[in-house]
Amino acid sequence: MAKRRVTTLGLDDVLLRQCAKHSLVTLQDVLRLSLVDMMRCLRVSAARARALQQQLYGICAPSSTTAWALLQEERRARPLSSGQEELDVLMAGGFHRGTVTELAGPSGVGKTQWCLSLSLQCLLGGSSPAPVIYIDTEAAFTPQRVVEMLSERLSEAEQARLPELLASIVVHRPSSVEHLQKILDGLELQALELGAGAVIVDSIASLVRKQFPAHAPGGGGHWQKIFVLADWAARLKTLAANCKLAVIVTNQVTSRNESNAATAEALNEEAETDLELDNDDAAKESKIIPMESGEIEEPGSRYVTPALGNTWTHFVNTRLVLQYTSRPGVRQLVVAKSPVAPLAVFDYTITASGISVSGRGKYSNQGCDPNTIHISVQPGASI
Amino acid sequence: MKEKERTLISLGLPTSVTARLHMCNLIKVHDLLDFSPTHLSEVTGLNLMDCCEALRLCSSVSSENAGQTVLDMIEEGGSLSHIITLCPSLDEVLGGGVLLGALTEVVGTPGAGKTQLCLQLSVSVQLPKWCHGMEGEAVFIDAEGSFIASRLLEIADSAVSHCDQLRSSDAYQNQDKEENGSSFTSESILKNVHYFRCLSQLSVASCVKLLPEFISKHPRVRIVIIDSIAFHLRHDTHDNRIRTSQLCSITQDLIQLATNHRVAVVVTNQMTTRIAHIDSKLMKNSECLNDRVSDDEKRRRTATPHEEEMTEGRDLNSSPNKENLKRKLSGARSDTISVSESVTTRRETNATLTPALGESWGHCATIRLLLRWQHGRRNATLLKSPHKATASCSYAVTAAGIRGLLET
Repeated sequence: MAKRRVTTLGLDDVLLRQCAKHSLVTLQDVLRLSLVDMMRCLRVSAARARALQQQLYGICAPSSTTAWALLQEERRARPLSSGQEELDVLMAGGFHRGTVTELAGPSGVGKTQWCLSLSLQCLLGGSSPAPVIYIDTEAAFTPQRVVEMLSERLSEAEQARLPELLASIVVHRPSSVEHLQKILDGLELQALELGAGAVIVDSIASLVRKQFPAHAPGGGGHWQKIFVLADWAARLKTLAANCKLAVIVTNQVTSRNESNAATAEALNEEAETDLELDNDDAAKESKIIPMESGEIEEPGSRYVTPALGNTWTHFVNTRLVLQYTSRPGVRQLVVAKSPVAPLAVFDYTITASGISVSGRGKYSNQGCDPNTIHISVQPGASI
Repeated sequence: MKEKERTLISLGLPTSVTARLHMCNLIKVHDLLDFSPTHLSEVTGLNLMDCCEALRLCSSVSSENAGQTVLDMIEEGGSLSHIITLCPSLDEVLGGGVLLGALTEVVGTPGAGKTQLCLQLSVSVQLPKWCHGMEGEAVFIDAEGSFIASRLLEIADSAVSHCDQLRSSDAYQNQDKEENGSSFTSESILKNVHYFRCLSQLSVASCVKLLPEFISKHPRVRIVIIDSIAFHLRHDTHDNRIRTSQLCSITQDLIQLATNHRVAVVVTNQMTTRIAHIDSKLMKNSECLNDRVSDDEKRRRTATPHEEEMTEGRDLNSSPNKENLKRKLSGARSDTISVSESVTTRRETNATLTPALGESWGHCATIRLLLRWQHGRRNATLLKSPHKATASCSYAVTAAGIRGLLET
């Protein structure tokens, strides 16, 4: 909207000539002028300039709607289901359209498996099956695995649909930050053409972390990284809002030095007192969350937490953390930041058909700091 | 135009005054327009009070520019000047809730509950009057996309059942139940939240510019929420000057909106990481000035704009003197969180989390509330307020919305 050319606005010729004279090309150029500058450049009276400003603001401002209308729309176009009933209930339907959800976790914990599983969920999912756009930056996307998962999910009779379904997943494989940016430029067009229901970026972290290492000589890398990430976040959110689709990105982890920040254990101790507040919610089963940390955290020790830092944590609407547990094969999904859900933990396993959440989830209103959440990693092999 | 052509005789001034004015060839209203009272008195020889009366009667200086006495302000405010949050301890910290007619900034770490507080406020502004509410409407400008209507419904449902419970309790037996009950439902609450989804900074700015018009059409709007003001500013432009001018203009609009329409304006802001990074030259200066320069001044020095958004600082030689100063510099500010509470950098440096958008923005908001994690709890701290001392409290985000914590 900001880049819309003034010539397309239906202004009268005299004004357009003045705009051209002062090289005011876009809407934004005109609106950046102060009232006095506008009067001078366009040679108009104060009243006329003010009216023009209002007219242009009217073009840029979004139209108003009420929360009630939004609720009706949410009920009509359901969020993207995670395929796991418990998780869907907790997250008020699943992955909301118009938002960006992040899956963060250590390597091998199943981020890509979740992505693939969610793609199929979108492809097959319930009332509104839709194609998926999959952006793979880590070369982790394996078509064979998709075929396996699909065949497991389809009944005998439906196997014939396989080729048609496989044709509905579009995969991009950007190799650099610039390449990904180019893909993002054309993504809205492609998403609308396909009628896509989800855009998945696996992972958002790898390219920026490779291209802008934190300790790069010159020290400018960090700035660039923040700008690039902010730009991507804005584009993905715009895409999600305009095309009414769910955006899912994955993030890696980083290790940080521990100071006396609240640990998962401390959190557990306090969780009980908080839950007493929930009298009216007694119907829901709520328990203290056993956050299984890989090792006992001591002040001064190192811990693992989602990568990309504080600023990026602001940019995602929902953060889901994936982590290992001490039980073999069982992993955990932690709802760390969400506009709808409290802090919650679900056990899951990776199966032939994708992801399977086992057992009931546990939640607490205690919450946790999604920026410094401690993630338990794979325990090392004993010697 | 017509007014200016009026003759002074027709204004009903005492004849002695009009006669004197006439003698000085001051005949019509517009003849007097350029005079100040003292000047008029010099020219005509009238005493000052007569001059004032004459000028007041004919001048364009209307009474709306006359200011307001404190008494007027208090009477206008009435008893309802705050929007309660339904978390008693948070209301206490804020001095009764979110102040009408002022700009409140809610700054917080990710996931601390900024959006949840906004949702809560857009519901609690609509509480019925007998329930300490103001039966208002809310405007929600969403720049982040975290607004989920079903979550708002959940909070609205709780507020409605909370009111129902109160009404059935003894304290409110005398209230006119029928009348009060009918209009406060979840549906009415959601219908009274006006939502704008803004996808760029320009669209936020335009939206704010057109709000006065919108509010005059919806006069019951009592709160305007922007969630968040930082998001688009942080990616839209990398030029600090443009960003500052955009911020100034939007702030001006918001403050006017708050005062002219008597609405509470709440904006949320993100946090950024800052390393107190001190170059050797400044070090040297600071050291020799150590005795003379006040702490305040030192703080200002560290707050140069180029440090914002920096995560990795320079390595500092750890001579005890420098270490000491370093600690002073980074520890003096009230709105920075020390590393011990919220670690954001990988290296052990004196990184602090500080509100985004820079120092000049810090002046803009009348009230500044910081939300963060402390010892595994959500904590709200009042950083700046014209009428309340700095205070802090714990709060919880429950299924019902923002609520207090039971003290253990």
